[in-house]
Amino acid sequence: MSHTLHRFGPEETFQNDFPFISRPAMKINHEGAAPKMRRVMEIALDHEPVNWGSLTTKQNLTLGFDREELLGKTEDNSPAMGCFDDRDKVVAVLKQLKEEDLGMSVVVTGLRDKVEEMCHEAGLTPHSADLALGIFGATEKLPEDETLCFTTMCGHAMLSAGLVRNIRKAVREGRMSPEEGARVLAKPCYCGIFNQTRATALLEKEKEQAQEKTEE
Amino acid sequence: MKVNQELCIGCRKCIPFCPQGAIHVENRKAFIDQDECVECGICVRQIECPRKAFYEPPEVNEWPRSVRKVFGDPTEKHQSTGVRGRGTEEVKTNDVTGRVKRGQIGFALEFGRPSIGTKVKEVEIVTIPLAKMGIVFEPCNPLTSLLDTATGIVHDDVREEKILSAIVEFTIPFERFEEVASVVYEASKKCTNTVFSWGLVVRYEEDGTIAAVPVLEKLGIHVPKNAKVNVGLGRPLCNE
Repeated sequence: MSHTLHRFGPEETFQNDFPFISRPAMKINHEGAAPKMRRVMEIALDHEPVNWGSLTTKQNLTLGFDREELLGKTEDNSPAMGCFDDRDKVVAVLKQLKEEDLGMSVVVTGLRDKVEEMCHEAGLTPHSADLALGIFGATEKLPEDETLCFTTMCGHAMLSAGLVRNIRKAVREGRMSPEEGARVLAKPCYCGIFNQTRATALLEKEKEQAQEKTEE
Repeated sequence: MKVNQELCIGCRKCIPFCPQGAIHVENRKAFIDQDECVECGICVRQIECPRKAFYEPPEVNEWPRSVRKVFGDPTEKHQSTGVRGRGTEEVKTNDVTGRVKRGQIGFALEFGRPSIGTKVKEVEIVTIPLAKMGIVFEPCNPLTSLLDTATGIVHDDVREEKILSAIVEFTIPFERFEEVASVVYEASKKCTNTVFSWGLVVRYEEDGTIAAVPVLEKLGIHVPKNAKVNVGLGRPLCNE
């Protein structure tokens, strides 16, 4: 899955958006990897990600999860998945992972020059990258750009355009705060890569624009 | 997925939650368009239905409809790879697998993404011309098992199944990049029923640059600033 890669939106909205995934490689280093993956999760969770999730337990930070239960259910091929909204926290996680040398692969998604700079700060040499070249084909069938900014934050497309439109409307009309809206939208993403901070900022902008229109 | 008609009270609360817009209400009863449903399971797991009317019927797990569930429900593991979601590790473990080495370039064309979904047969828009060029599709990707890899034609029994998304994945020598990228780009113009998101897996050079970037610029393909970076912590490290 290309999962965290194809997030849609203006460049400035990615300044504090860093999905994080770690996993073993099947048939190469996955046997006996459970304790290492547990440790990766512990390190990441200690640095307070904005979101975290698990496809095994079907939970994320917004739905609420028991840290010990999540760690306890870690299997050899369980990925560690979440999102940070602070580049310094990611650097701290990477530094500790390098120090402990657990040998599990890690990918960080974000603006490439920023992620590369974070790697260097942590003493790491980036190995490879997946570049997002964009969307091709029947693009006229896509939801409007403002909705795609949210739906593409769930890498498995579990967040529907219909729900996003409802929440955007509720925020514009003052029936819901941007923070509440972001919490609702984060629920369907079990991987925990949906960034509530980015969603809140996008909804705040929408609310401001609606207010400006009313004042006109 | 289906709605138990005896339980449903037609409150319409469920309608916005379906990623494929497949839930409709007629005569005060919700139903799911079975052609459009990709069996992602979000309705069963997350909709706060006051009557708990959504359920998974047994046929969801019967071939070929079961294809929808394994490609649509991220909590399901693919039997062929042991990986959940779209079932492929691509760049995530490239530091260990060495799937894409220096001097190579990886393509990850995710059909149906974002939001639209796709019938499995739609991938033929690229798989048929690519197979004619001798492209070898990634074996550790569950979509590959649904194709005749020699021709790029999708197997008859799964052609019409609608799935949330699937990735056409392959690796080529870097010198073929321009030729293959042009074929994919031309094929994209015939892709009128769905969309695909194009990812390019590249290896960093020893000096920290990416050789593909200037080639993409030369081809006029915009290189967005977003990327998924494998930070090189996996062991044993594939340094090729």
